[in-house]
Amino acid sequence: MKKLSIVFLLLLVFALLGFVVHKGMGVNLNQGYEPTQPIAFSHKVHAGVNQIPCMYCHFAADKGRHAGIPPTELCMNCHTMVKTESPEIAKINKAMESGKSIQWVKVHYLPDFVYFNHSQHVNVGKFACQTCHGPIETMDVVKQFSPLSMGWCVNCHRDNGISPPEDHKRATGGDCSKCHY
Amino acid sequence: MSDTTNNSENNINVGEHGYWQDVEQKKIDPATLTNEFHEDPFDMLSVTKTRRSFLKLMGFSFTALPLASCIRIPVKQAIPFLNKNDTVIPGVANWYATSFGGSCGSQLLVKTREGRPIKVEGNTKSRYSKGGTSPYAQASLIALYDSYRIGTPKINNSNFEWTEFDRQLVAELKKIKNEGKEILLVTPTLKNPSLVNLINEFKAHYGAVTHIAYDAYSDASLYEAAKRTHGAEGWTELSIENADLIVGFEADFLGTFGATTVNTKQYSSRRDLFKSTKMIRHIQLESQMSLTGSNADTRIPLTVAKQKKVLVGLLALLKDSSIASLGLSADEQTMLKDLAKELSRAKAKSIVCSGINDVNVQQVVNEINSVLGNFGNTINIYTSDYAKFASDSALNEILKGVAESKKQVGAVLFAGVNPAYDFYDQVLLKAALDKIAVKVSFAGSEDETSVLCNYVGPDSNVYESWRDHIVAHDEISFSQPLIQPLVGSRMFAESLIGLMEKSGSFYDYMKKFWEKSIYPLQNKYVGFTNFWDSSVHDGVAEVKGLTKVLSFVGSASAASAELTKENSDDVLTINAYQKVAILDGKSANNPWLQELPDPITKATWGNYIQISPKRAREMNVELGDVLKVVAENGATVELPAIVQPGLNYNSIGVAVGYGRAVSGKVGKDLGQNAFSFATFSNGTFQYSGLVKVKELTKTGRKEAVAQTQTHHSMEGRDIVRETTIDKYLKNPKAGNETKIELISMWEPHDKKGHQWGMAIDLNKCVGCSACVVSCSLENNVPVVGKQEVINRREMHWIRIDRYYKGDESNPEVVHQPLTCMHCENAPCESVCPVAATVHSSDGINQQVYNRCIGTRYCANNCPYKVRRFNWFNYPHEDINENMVLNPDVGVRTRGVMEKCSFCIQRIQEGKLEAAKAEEALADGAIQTACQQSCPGDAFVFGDLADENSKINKYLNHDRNYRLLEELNVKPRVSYMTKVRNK
Repeated sequence: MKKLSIVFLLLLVFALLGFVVHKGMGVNLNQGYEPTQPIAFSHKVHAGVNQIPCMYCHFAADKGRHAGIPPTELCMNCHTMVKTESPEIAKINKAMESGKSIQWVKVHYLPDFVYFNHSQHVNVGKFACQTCHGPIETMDVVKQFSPLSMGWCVNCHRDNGISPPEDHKRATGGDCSKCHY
Repeated sequence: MSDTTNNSENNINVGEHGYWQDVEQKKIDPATLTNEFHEDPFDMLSVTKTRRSFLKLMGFSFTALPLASCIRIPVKQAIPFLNKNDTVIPGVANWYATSFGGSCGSQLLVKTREGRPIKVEGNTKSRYSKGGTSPYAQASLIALYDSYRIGTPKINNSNFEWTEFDRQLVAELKKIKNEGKEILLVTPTLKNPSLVNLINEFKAHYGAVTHIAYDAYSDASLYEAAKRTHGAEGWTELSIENADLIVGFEADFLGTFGATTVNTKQYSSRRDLFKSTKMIRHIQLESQMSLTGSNADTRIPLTVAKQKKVLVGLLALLKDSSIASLGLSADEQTMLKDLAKELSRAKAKSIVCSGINDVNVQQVVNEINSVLGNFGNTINIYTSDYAKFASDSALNEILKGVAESKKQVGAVLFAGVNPAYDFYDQVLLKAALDKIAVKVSFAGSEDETSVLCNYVGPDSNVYESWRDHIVAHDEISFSQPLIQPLVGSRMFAESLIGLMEKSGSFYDYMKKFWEKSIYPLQNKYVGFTNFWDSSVHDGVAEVKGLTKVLSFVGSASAASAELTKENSDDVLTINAYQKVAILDGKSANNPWLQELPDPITKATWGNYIQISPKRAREMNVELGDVLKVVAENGATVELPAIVQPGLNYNSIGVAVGYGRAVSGKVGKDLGQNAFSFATFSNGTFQYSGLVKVKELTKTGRKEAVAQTQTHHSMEGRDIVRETTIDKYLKNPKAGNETKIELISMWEPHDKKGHQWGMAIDLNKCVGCSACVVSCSLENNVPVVGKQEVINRREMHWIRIDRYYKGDESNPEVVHQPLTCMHCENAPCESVCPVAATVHSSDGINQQVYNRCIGTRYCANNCPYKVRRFNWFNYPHEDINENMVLNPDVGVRTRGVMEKCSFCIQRIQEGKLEAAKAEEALADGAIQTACQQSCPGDAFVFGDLADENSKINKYLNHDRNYRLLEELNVKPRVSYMTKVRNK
């Protein structure tokens, strides 16, 4: 009986440890992060209903590291005509007039010791935005779909056969210094 | 460890290959030689010292990042452009051609990210610097972000707007004009056509304006000699690539004298054995060991006074006259005759040049080159209407005139000069300035002169300005602004426009001037807009007729006669020399230049007294003994000693550029001012070998010299392999016979895909150190400061080891750059307990900062000692200075090991660009930072897996060898033997 309870206790401890480790691994991940933005901009309306291509606004996703937050004046390409009376559009007008850009809340965040390049994945890897960002065209408020953890990155690279050694056409392999430098 | 043999004569311990490190070694017991790695007790408390604390601010690290990764991320803002400029894409660099205007002749491409200039590279479009840079050009970028810059115009120390500054100063200048007094404008030597033209208009506007060019470390004798032998003031251009023999007299043409980048480019190309086995031969006569002298095939140590006699004798011999009256010893006469013989064998294919700022010397040099038929072939003197040449006597005379009230000067305008620090006679300067009511300084940051001025109109940084420069007789370069002025400064040229009460920018002025005066000088482009746009884009333009070549018309007989009369007795004299990196001290507030080791002494942060080994033994002086020097003119310094092999017994050397009393935090109060050892003689400021030493004594004190490299001894190993050209021609493997093939315990790594490797040609490296600064800039390498350098904690990812060989009074020198060797069997990898340093599939030894826990086992196990440990955080609290960081490379934190990554960010970028274009990666498309900046093209980097790559050509060559091959660590960096032409 005593032996059994010790075994039981040990199991409990292990289970607890496992739980802590499992939760602990994800402590710094912000999967599901869904902050309120200064303007009630809906990706669902723009990318979903109206089918505006992602890269119309995120102009640098195929060019460089950053996808690019659209410059405020870009909104006005349409909104000088469309929904001009909306109080949300008024905020954009105000920003244009005051010369102070809108301060969006950043949703996706990678630490500085990781190098990530959008154009690599869009241009060379030919991945759809949704692969990492999820069904963004259905989101009224954008939330972080993927964990953006190293394990998640590496898994995808493995699944796509981009582990070392690879030829240069797949510029990222599994080597540390492909992302960390 | 190999046996060390004992050289009984000088009692120096030398290895079996004859190399030794420094004269301190002679005192070291061979048994203790293994203790080469300095270990001081951990000096934590040094944080409280002021310089250290400051340098922590200057360093390149953030402290907040590791903390931020432990907590739930705070809300971050993403702020887009309001209106986006088409050319700016976040995360993508833009490149602009420009020039920083230094005399070294480096033409640049500047990398800007999101509008911030972050890296300078060489511009391959320049037909002179051909993509080479200098340490000065590389380091010039941090001056842009210097927080010490003056923010607003000042009148009597109060801040004013530019309009008010102009109004008040114009009123003063007009008053002076009406009173019939003179206005004095002092600038450095100008080879800037638009600016010179504007100054001429300014002179016409105010009438009695005297424009004098004054250089802190003057080459005025060259201009004056040109006037006497060639009929007009002009500058000398060397074409070393056309010469078979170059003879330098105290001319540091690879380090500090003339167009050093251009010279190095050509010099190294003539030592490239892949191109031709007909190497240039280099003979250097000098009183102290210069960078150039350290590369010479034959180096002859002689006092400056003796060199003058040799020059006169050389001219006499070439003209078949007698040399009997010169009072040279038999040995010296033999040397002279050999020199003359060698030179006359290389007629029209040789160069004789001298850095002695004496008109007589330069006239003799000109006639020697004329007799040898070198003018028009290897050397030319050019002049231009758009150049203003320094005249030492003009400044001296006018200051004397003012001081003695013979001249009425109402205002003096200083632009780009700092005479209150670097003028030889401060008493005279002060007496003259006291008599001038209106003193104006256009200094960019506060200096000794600007604090004496009642008007200070801060000049913009060169990277915020429009400017043009004459690079060479048929090339003109551009400086274009890369960023809006970071402070309320204004480019000097626009200040002149303001003082002329005109409107418009200097850009408009320059464009108009170019349309009128420069555009007609070329025939490549049709239409001015076409020409202008292309020139701004390329950064350089080819023009003909902007300069005029001068031919030899005079004679140096009188100069020869005067030099013959000069005393050349053996007395101890002082050389106030320019040190590589700091030069005349204008860049004293540049931390990268301060921390750059001198190529010869390997000292940083401050100056010192160089003393010859023989004299050091006589006086019982060793490294760090503080000496007191009193010159016959009364100038005194007390500085620590460095015992310098190759320094003439009758010379001591003290570098100028230190002892800045008014400078930013970096440059202030470092060392002592040696400009007081300069003197005015024969119409020029003279710096070397003229001022006699009245007193040289030991003070009994000790002061540490912050040297980076005396702790590396070659320990008798063949770390540097060399041979002579004759031996090499007979056997390409000469000097490189040893090849060690060992079997390995380790499984070889998989070698699929690219395999990166590097080769360094020791024959082409001159030790200029541009690579060291370039690497720091590219990789966010922190500056650690004087005390930390003394503690042997410098952070440079690439270092240049310097070794001596042979006689201590005239040793041969080798420079060997050392990066991480990226060993295939890397000893660091096997000892890391947390796998923070591992091998990549493409053969790079990776350092993963976020895994590293700082055990430092790897550094201890590295046979090349190239790993660097972050003993401290180097936080950047200064927003301005943060802007220079490369956003593609992380900033390391305390407790983390770092080292050369083969510029992994560039490799990744190169691969990505090729992949985006769906092309194979071209050989040479990826260049490391050191390679790109090297003016000697000493580095070759590429893919070993590509059979046709340049790197494989180097690797398979007979001259190729690997360092410490016997350890079987299989380094991916290899060297090419040095071949001397002697």
